Amino acid sequence: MIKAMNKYLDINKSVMISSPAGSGKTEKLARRYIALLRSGVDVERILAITFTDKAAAEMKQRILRILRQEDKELFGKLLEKMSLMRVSTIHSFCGTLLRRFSFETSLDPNYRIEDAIDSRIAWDRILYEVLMEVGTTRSRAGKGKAGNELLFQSLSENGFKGLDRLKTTINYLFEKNPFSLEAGLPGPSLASEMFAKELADWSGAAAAIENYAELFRDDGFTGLVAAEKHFLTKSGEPRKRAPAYAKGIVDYQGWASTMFKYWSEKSKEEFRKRAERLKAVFNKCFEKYSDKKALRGLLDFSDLEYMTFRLLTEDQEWSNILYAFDEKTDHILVDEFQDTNNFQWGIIDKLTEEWRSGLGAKREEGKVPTIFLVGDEKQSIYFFRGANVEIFNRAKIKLEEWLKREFYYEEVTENFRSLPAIIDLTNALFSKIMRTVEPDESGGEGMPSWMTRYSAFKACRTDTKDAGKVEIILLDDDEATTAETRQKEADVIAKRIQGLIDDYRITEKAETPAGSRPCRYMDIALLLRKRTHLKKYEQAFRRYNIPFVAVKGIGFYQEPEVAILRALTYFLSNPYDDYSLYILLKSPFFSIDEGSIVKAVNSEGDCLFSKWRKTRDGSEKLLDEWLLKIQQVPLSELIEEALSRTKAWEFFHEAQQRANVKKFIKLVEDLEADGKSLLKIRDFLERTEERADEPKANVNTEGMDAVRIMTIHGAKGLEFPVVFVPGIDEGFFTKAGDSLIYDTEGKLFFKYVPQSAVRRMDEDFILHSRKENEEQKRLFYVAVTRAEQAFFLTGRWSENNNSFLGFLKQGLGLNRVEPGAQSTEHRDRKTENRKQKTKKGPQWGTSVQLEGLSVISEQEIKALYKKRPRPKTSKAPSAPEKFIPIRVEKPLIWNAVTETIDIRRQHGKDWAVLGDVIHRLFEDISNGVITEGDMRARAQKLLMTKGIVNKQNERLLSVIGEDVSLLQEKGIWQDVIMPRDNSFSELPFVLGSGDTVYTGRIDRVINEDGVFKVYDYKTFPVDKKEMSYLLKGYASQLRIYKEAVKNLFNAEDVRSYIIFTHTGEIKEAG
Amino acid sequence: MRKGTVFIAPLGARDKKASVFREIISLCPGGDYSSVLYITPSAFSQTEARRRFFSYLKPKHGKKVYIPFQSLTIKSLCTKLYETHKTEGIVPARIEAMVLCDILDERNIGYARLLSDLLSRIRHHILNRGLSQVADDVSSLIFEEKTLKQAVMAIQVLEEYEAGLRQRGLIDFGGAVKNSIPLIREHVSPAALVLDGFFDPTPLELEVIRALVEQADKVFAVVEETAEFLNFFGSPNVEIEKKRLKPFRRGTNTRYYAYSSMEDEVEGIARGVKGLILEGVRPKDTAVSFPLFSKYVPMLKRIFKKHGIPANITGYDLSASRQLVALEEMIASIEDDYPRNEFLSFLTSAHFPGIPETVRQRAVSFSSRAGIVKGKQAWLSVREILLNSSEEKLSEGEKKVLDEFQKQVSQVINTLEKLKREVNLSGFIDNLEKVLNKFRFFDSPGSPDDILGSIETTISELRHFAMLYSPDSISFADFVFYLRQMLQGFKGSDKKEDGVRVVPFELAAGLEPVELFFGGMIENDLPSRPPIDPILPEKVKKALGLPYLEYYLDRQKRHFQRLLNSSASDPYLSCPVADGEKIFLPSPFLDWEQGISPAVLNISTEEDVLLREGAFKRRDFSDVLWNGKLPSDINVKSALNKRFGPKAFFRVTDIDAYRKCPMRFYIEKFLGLEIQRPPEFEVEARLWGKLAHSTMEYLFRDGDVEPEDMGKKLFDGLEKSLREFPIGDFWAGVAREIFIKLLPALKEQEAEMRMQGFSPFIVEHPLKTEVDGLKRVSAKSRIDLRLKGKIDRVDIRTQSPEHRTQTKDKKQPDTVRLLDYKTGSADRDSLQLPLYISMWNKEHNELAEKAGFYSLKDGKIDWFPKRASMDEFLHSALQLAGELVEKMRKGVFKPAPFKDTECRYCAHSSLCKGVK
Repeated sequence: MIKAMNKYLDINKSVMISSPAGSGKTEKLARRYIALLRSGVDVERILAITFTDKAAAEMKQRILRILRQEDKELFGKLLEKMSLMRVSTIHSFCGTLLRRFSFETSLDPNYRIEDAIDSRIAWDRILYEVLMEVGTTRSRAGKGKAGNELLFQSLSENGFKGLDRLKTTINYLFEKNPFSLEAGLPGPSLASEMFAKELADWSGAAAAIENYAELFRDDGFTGLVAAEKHFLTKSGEPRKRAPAYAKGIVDYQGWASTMFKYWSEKSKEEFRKRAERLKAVFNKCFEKYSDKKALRGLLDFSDLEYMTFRLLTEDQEWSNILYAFDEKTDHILVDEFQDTNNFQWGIIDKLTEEWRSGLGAKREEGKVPTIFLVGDEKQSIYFFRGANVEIFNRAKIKLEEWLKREFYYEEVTENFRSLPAIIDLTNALFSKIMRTVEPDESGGEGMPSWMTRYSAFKACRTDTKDAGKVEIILLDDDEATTAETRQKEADVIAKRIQGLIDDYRITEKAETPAGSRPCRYMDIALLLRKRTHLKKYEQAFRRYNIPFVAVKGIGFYQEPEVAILRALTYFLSNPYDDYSLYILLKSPFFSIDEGSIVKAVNSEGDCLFSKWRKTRDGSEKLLDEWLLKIQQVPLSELIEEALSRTKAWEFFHEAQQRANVKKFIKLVEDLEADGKSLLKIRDFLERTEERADEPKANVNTEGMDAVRIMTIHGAKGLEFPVVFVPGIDEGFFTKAGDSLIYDTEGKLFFKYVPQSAVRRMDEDFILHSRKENEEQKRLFYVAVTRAEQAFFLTGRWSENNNSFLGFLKQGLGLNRVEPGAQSTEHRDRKTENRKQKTKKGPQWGTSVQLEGLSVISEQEIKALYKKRPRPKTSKAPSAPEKFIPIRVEKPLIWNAVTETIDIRRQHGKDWAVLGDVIHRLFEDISNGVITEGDMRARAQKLLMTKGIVNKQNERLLSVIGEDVSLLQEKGIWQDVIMPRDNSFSELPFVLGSGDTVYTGRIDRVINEDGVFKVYDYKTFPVDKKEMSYLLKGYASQLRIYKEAVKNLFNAEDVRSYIIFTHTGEIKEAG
Repeated sequence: MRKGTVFIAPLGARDKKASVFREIISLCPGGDYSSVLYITPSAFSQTEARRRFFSYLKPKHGKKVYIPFQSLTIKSLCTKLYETHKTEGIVPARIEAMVLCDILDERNIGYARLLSDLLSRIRHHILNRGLSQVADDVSSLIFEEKTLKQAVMAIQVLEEYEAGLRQRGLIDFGGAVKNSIPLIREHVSPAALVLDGFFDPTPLELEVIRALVEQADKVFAVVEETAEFLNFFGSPNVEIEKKRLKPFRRGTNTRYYAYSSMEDEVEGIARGVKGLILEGVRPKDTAVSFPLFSKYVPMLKRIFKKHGIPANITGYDLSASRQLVALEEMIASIEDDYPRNEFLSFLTSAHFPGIPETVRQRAVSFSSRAGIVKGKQAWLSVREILLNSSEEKLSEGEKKVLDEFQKQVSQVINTLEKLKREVNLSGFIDNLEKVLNKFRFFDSPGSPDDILGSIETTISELRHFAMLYSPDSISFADFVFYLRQMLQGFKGSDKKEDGVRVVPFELAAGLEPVELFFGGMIENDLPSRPPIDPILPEKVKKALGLPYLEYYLDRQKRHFQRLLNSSASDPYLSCPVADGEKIFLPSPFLDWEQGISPAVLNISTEEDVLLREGAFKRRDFSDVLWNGKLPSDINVKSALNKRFGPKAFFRVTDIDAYRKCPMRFYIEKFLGLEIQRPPEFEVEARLWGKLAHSTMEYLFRDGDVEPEDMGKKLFDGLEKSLREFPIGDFWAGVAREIFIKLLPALKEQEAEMRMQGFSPFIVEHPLKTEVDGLKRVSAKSRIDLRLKGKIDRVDIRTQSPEHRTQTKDKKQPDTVRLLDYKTGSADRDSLQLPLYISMWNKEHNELAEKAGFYSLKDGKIDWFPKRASMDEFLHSALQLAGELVEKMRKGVFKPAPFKDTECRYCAHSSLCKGVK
């Protein structure tokens, strides 16, 4: 084993490790990274790629943690260079590459990644525009083009909903990432001609069917539609019995069957044309969408991979790019390689192309560049997101072929996580339902490479002699509805959990045998395939006093506290939104009784709010106050204030609720920080209202003695002593819908088949569906391998095999044992004994004999159940503390003494600019910086810096000229503006007075024989009538000036004047 | 005589400014400090110096009035000198990237910004070489052809830019600073020069400082002990005394608090700050900072407010300020043809007080009801759409408001549309100002950060650009592009004083607070990497003397060391370990062995108090939400009686709605509250239904029509209906197209019905009757059902073709068939058909043979009853209807949907206890 471990640390070889669950995959990657560092490779030259930010952070953490424990010196060095570590997600790596080569891609190097919801909003708008444009073109032109035909075809088939259908299909293309734009269409089939020939000669058909020959007219779909009624059932299947008029036809059933094949083939041709039109509409939308993004310097998240792929494969400069990359990178490490999609592998493949060729500058320097891939194909559970498990095998075959002796492949089989019972189950089950032979790329005798390969585990835990347990608990409930079954199942699980608590022994994982302890709630995880019935499990746990926490639970937007806050937001954005106000009034914000609302609803008013205002119960004032406040205060702050002010917080004390409220506030805050207006926040919330995949707020579960409930996807990478997987009978739902983007040999294709009967027969749809089912096996594998000691599967016995239960039947030979029948199947002895003691119910058994495995019925659970009281919370809620306000001292106010009347508002922008320029000019004249002769040029330049040019510049210059002439005429120019002894121009001052510090500049101060004259210039046009009003208005400003001058110069006689430059008047003030 | 003093500040030295202030005061005893030139590196430190000087002077020297020193940054000093003594104009920094973009002849503003940044770095760091020489240097340093080509091309663009400016009598800002040096030597001769706050000036700044030092009579400077800048004062030609200040404390401790999330971290900081304030520390003596400041500011503002902590925030990002957002929404409205959200944000913004009040108040509601998605034409048709599509008739008052609204919205759109009618940039700017003035943008509620002033300045700068570079003719899209670029990057600061100082990382070390909280210390944020430079490789930058990666990283490390020593007490360092799904690692500057859990401080917010109170009282808000039982108060009884009392008639469709979900019925039908959904298309299913029904009504309004004549009559009917319910060209086209496709199926269906001996008799037939004979399964009493409704169509059996044109008056007593048109999918469990049959039977005293849903999608009819006999069919429906009506009368509106699927798309499901 040690030898094997060392091999993957050989830094002169590229390595691929198939490292199954519980075999220390991330540890291996970290060790490899460290081995590279230890061999002297510079940290910047190692690129490690993960698939999530979290995984990247964890990988860094792992590397640093190992070094901190084992090699302090290297740890210190690495910490120094931490910001140079290239451990990132593939997206982040692509993002960096695109910025670096932004010139080649004509990208804005400062591009931003657009938020998914914003992308969707932009896309929806463009799709709307394009569809409207397509429709209007048609109605004007009278004849349709490709897009028009499509639109009206859809509308005529589905009525107004046809538009929705069309949108759904085009949105599917968008959701499958915009690169589906490049997806090809499958080629035409020749089969229809063959069938047509056969059918055309059908004896007796022409006599029985009116216009029989027309059915084969090649005019698109008309013939097919007409043909439908003769041979198809309503569900689109071939008829088994002939309609009355066709009774005479010989072998009608055979005819219908051939006709159906012909019809399917012809339909496919028709649908292919439609797919082409759909693509045309999509392309149009996508083009517009891309232009819009480019204009704003935006990219989608999905653009990153796609553009990088294109940059590396199609750009003229790709060799330079590779050169630049190569110059910086010697080693690539990829984690969770099984989750790679075609583009990601394309990128990695291209980047390492030269390395594998055995040539290149590195080799010439004696360096051996390496690639290190680690993953577990059995844990590839992201097919729905585009991951392609086939890449895992393809990569292995290619690397072996290319690198030969420089490549090392390791298949790890050790499992350090689970006890033998679980390992045995895993081996028995998955070696049957997965394949154990090598994949066959060529499609030869072996199984196709999308099928998962299984190698048996070896149990390696040495810390306990406990073999562990696996229990399949089955309900026999044929008559019950699904909801009732899940309800019952939830009760069974709850009872079983209570039976385990304190009684079942848990061994903490350790290097050496360790003692055991009683099982606690925190040891148990309930892993769901999907969260449809989550509420049922939660309710049952509550009923049975089981503490639980929904970890990584989704459905944030559907939580009631979120709905209430959403209602508040909606109301603030539109007080005429009666429903939102209703929710708000009923909610903890106001807790208004229903009767009062009914009364208000039945009173007079144009909306509920106007009616409610008449109730005058105080809440209406608060609502009015919030409506006013929202104009100024951020929504996030207003929500917090509202929660405190109305004491609504009291109702959200439960940890998850509180966290959800906080998450909502943070979400709103982020949207506001992103420049979203209230209406746009509303739009965001409306769009996310039905989005079920948003995780609930994180609640810190560390140390919490509670059962963890999460999805199997969410549990990937985690482990628990005891695992429950409910709903094993639930059937798999494979992709429904008319459209399919699928991958054939690394190329993408798009298929559109709106007829379900045709779809059911379509090989690509079928293959896709099979791949989805294959993924369910892997999902099941992930679920099983989360368990360390005990694994429980629950569900209803069902004949449907398209489920986890089906896998168990196939893998373990799980079957129903008829009472009294002599069964050779294995049954656990304990279970047998227990069965005899309990009420006789249905019995099940397995054909394989596994230690620790038992199959029991729901009736048997009763004997195992132990009623337990609700666990006491560690601390009873203490009496509330008090909020202590801060007593703020009166702050020192810095007050810039500026004009009290807004010149811009009163007189317009030009006068504000002019005022500034005149003050600058007069200052320069008074200080002797310029002469009267320089004035015009100086003024012109100053105006230009204010953006005043051309005619406007000329006009303002003439105003300045006229003002100066007037001042000269009245003698003010000579007496005040021109340079003088004992004078100041734009005299700055700081004056402290009480709690205020006044700062400012006095336009002019002249000391005439001990009399200090303070002048302030007012440059805007003034009417004589407003003179006295203005003098009053400016009195306080001038008083401060006088006070400053008096104190600055110890002057006894200070006088203040206002010079109205536009009218040439001087007035004493203050 | 020595020329002044350099105060050498070791890390941890405090009151550094006081040393300089002492010198200034002794130099100018009279209170006139105007001969002192106080140079700082930033506007922030400028304000800081002015205010600290006042605070120093007042208690120590009792002065309440003085003439302040001239405080300037190098930038403002040089600008001032250049504007006064040179004829060339300085190009505003904001428009530099736009001019470069223009030269590049492509809309890659990001690249233009990189070029602008490169120019600034060349100006500041490479003093004695012109751009062409720099290009030569680059050529000798880069070997890879493509990289070289790109780098040289970038410098060539800069050369072109420089030449273009020269030609127009202009200069870029870096060039102006460089050219100011001789002007300093000529025109500046301060009695005293103070240099304060410089940590690592660029070579160009050093040259400016050198010139100032030469010109000044006295020089006083505070310089960090480890700063390279100190070497400058060591040169033989600068005879300045050096005094070493005493360090107060030497901070090396990088112990830190690790919080579970960013929010928890800011909460922790707030509690820590508040705890100190309650212990007596003045708010202004505490500083808070983060490496990535903008990420934290909104949260910090909110949380500090919650704790009642006064805060002064400096240098925050204004790009999300309400005024700027409102302006952006206005531009986007015009640019994108009035999309709903953008236009509504503009119409309802408080920052356009000139928008008429009716529009402001009703825009959201009216446009939502009218289903406006976007489009000028749609907005101009709100009135029309609403009048045609409202289910209930609008009241006169409402119509009046709607009229006024439509008029005013049209005026607003007209005003905005004028903005587009220009051809050159100056014209667009003039129009923009007119529009802004018209809607009184500059009169809108102000904010302490003077964003309106910044916007005004921006418009002036844009004019400047228009004067310099704009071509004669540009499009509105070009104008918007330029404007958007100009409206970026505004920073704001709170004007009020005395609160906790919240400052960006780069300014924090210049403060000397008593307490310092430095949060957000996570890897990647501290140190942060500069943006990727696609122009010059790092090694080339290093060789040229330009800042490069390690330079930035080192700078941050040194700055962090300063920060560690800037406060009187040990700073509180912290970082979040996660945020949502993200995991953060601590900054490598922190001591990873020293991460500690934050102490629980006994500082509560109102929120904490209420949460504890709630837990204490076990408050449960699910009780607050409605559980489906109405209280038995008089208002409720009266409302129930009015609506469902013995005299009330029930709409058949209402009984169906109640069956589907009593709670939703209660909300929508009883309370009459509409759950609003965002509109996707102007024409919604409801309006299409109206249109289709009206068309079919017209088809058989005057009796039967021969199938071959149906086409003409149907399309005449459609056109009439379209006139009655105008829905615009697009939707009218869609409607026509649907009927064109439907017609053959309709004809076939109608022909088949006639084959079966039935033909249309009456259409849109209202029924209002009391149904008898109903008995509940378990009850003895009968329930009278007073029902009303409208049957879309009644067909009658015709004995022979000649009877096919019967009118209502001439109707033979015979069996009828009832038909209900459906434009969507029919609800097979609906009570509509059996109740209509019962009502018809009662009112006309004759039996209906069957009833069906007539699909206007495919022309097919789904007939009822199916397997059950007519008696069973009617009996079970009447029984169910009776039970439902009884429940309605009792006020039972439990959330008990008939099918699970009812909840799937129900907007109320989050708040409903009945979700299955």
